[in-house]
Amino acid sequence: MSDSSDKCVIVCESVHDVMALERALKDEGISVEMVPTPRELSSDCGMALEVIQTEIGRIAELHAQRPFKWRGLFAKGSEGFSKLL
Amino acid sequence: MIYLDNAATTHSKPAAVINAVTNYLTAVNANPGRSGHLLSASAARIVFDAREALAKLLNIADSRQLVFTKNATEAINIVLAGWLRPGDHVVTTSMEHNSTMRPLRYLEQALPLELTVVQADASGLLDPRAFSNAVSADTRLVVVNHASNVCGTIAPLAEVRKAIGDTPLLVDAAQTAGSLPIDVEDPAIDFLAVTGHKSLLGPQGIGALYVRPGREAELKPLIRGGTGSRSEHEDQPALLPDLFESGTLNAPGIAGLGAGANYLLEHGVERIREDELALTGQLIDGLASIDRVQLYGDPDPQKRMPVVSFNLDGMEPSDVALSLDREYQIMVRAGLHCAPAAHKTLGTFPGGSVRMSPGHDSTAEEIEAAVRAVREIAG
Repeated sequence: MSDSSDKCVIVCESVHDVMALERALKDEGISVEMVPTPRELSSDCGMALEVIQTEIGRIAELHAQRPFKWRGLFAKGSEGFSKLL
Repeated sequence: MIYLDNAATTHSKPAAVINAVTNYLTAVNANPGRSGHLLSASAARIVFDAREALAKLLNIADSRQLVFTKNATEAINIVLAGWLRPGDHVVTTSMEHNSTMRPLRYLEQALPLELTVVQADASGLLDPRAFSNAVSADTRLVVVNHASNVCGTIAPLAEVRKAIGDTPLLVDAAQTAGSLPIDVEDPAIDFLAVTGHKSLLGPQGIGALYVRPGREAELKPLIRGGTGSRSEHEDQPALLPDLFESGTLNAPGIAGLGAGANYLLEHGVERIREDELALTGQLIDGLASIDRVQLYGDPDPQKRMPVVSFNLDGMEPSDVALSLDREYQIMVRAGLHCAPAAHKTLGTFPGGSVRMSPGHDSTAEEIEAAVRAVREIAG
């Protein structure tokens, strides 16, 4: 199990978009986990997706090919979340 | 027992539909997407999968454009109340169900609207040329019942689309979705209202509305409220499907509807259509061979859904239906079928008719027994 600092969070605007993104990433073999959206990020949607940081490169590639409907992918650092994608 | 009231609701549901509803209520039953916990996520996945399945069945490219409602009536009301503005011109037909006619008649006075009703012929057939004549630059919406719930006659949608050009089109597919192939791109449909409990084989209390991408910008929701998204804002989110899905969804119903859509994708609507055509032809031929029977609608089964209305000379429709029910355990529907305009068109107002409607699992033996029963009642 990875340490929480190895995780990134993807935030979407709606539950539907979270579900669609979960399905799209899983179809590509990317491991995702549904988590409550961290309060610091947004309350756009109560659910967010957690992915391992090492998957960011592949997610970025997929996003470039077919842009996801999302608010973004965020990593948590010592001063809070920063947007990576 | 022989159930021939599938136009009112399909009695027999596939095991997968019943299992999906039961599974939702026993193993899931959390609020879909409102919380981040595992059960809430499972519930949201079921809603997502159902939306995707129904979208696939109707050839909707982006399932966000498919909004769950409680039935086709609500879907139609969302469009009529949310799209039309004071002074708009609306074209509809004389074959509409009251799910369309009542809100339109209300809005005709309340907004007000200018309403043109295209008259069908005595068998319920619509002439596309009448739409060309009815539509003008001021026409904001054309509303067409895809098939009559009284006599089953199918509207010539492709020809209507050609006749009305780019005018926005609302199609009431309550009687066709799941029983007749529908493609929202061919012909182009702007708004499609479906109900889940008829040929889509889901439970009662669930339906859906398709909104063509971009049309939502001018479509106001019927109700506003919590959506589980943009919760810090006190105004309604503009994104779909949330814009039109305030409040907790009927997730058990959606689970069942999704299973119904998947059943239809697996078995093929075309195949079900073929089976129902054969039964409809058998029913029309059988009833037509009885002296006292007056049949309504086009005699060609290809031009209609499995909905057959008739009367027995000298008998009230309700008496025929009662006799079929109590003496033969054959369930049909008598009366006006919530469609007085259609009955006026067919010449059966105010008495109504007896309606027999086979479904996806009706059999030739059942049709034969129904015809035999009518023959005996006719004497």
